[in-house]
Amino acid sequence: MKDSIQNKINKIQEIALASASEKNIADDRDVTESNYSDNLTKSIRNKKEAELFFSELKSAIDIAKRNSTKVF
Amino acid sequence: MIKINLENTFEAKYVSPNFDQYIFESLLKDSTIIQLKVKFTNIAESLLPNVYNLAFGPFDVNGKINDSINLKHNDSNKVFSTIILFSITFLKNNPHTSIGIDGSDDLRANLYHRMFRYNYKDLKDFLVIIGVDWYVRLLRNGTIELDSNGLAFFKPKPESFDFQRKANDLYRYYMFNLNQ
Repeated sequence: MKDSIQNKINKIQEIALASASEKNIADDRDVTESNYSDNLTKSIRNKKEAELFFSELKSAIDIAKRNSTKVF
Repeated sequence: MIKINLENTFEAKYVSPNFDQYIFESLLKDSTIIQLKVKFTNIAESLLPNVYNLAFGPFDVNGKINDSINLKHNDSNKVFSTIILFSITFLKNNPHTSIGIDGSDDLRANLYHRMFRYNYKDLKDFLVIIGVDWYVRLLRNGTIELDSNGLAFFKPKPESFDFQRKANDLYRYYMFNLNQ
């Protein structure tokens, strides 16, 4: 990661640290955001479904990482 | 077309201690300054476990994020670059999570799809981009799996973002992880 971008992230982390001791203004103004579609709000039913999702996600990430090293 | 440039971002006015909420200001084309909030929410017990849904937009009168409003930003590239920078910050502090964006309508899905395609070369060092389609099981008796309300039980199927997919074949949901 470029130093300039890492510096930006460091600065954001400093703001977060400072916020830890302040009143949480964002939470005060924020009730609940719930614009999710039905599909996103449906509950997972069992451990197997979660494991299947994680397995498929891991495969997708592995393939995406491999693809990212290819020259298009 | 949105061009992501992580060197050109707005400064955060507020960052929550656990990095899931951010506030920054953007200048609109009519010269007004608007406060925008970025929030990552874990959709607990959802079909997308460990995925934090990204919402962003101005506050509405009730203090909630209005993520359906169409704002004319003076510099949309800078707005989206800021959101991506905050996303990377969130993921660096929560490295075992994913961020998801709901293409709630075709316009938005198209925007995200094209943004990831167009900026892939610049983002791939930071992020792994995943597209999610929804599938329903075909059962042995020829029917499909239904939920408790009798509706088709669609489940997410993530795949490596297919950059060949065009705008008429959008993903239903977009996700990204830290490339680590």
